Amino acid sequence: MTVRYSQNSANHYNASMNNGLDYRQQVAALNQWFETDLGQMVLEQESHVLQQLTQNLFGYYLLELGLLCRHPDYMQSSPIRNFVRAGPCHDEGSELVALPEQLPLVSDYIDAVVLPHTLDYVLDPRQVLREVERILIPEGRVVIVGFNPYSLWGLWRMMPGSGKHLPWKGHFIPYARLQDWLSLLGFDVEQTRTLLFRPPWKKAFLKQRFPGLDRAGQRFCPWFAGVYVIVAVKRVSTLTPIRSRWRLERKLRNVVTQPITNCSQGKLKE
Amino acid sequence: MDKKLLDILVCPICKSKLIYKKSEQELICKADRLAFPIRDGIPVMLEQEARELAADEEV
Repeated sequence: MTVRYSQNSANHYNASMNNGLDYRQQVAALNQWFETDLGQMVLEQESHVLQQLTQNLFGYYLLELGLLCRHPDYMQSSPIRNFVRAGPCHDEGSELVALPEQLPLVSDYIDAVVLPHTLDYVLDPRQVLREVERILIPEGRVVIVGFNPYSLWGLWRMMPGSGKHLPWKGHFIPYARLQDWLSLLGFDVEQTRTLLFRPPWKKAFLKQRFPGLDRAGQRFCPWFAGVYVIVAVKRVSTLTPIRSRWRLERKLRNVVTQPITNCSQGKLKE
Repeated sequence: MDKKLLDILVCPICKSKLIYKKSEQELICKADRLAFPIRDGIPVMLEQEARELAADEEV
């Protein structure tokens, strides 16, 4: 039942996107929401987690692929020096304009990719994951931030009226399904972090009512978090020829070699 | 434009190598005959923003 609901909502979302709401409007609406108090709180908590996770990312290139470039500088903590921000719009923060479904980057080259809510709001999240898998080097890492549909945040989008607006209109991909997609593409989930157990209430005085809810949720029901952060590693199996060890190797014996044909001296004279 | 970024860029459609035209500030894909613009030092790698090369235009 839940699966059917999610697929229907995704189809509806795709249809509405094809009807004219392009990425430019989408990015503007998302950025507008993330500038509100609630959005700022989400960004702040996510940045804190991303800062901890990117400390363990190594390599030469780090790519942030997303519709919103509003996260504070979490990449400062990363040892990777070359940081590229890519987005579908010519925005202030982006250094490369490209569709997430059609990445203009060389295959097997990028060391780490961060997807902050990208899969929630792109047209085809599976194609984005395929492209990410293509550009990552073997043992490269992808960090995915997404809204969890099985949470108070997921319930909020089912409220009458709220499901039509951003950010509640996104895909909200369930964690299990994302894990399934990742395993199909050859990724191993290395780490999962959960955050935001409090309800998405806009009023400041209501937000402060639940100081212990995040700690309790983390401990007793981590699957009920509003936002999940996944770190997955791209595994590539290489083909190595395996020899059977039990077979004895052939050795040259001391054999006296004999010519196949013997010709006499007389014949040679002729 | 950032040299390091230029090194890793390919065509978003066919993933083939691009030719950088510094004077025109364009990245050209020979296979698709498309020229992707560079605006304010930021490459715009979108198919709908790219210029189609004319049939007699040589790369």
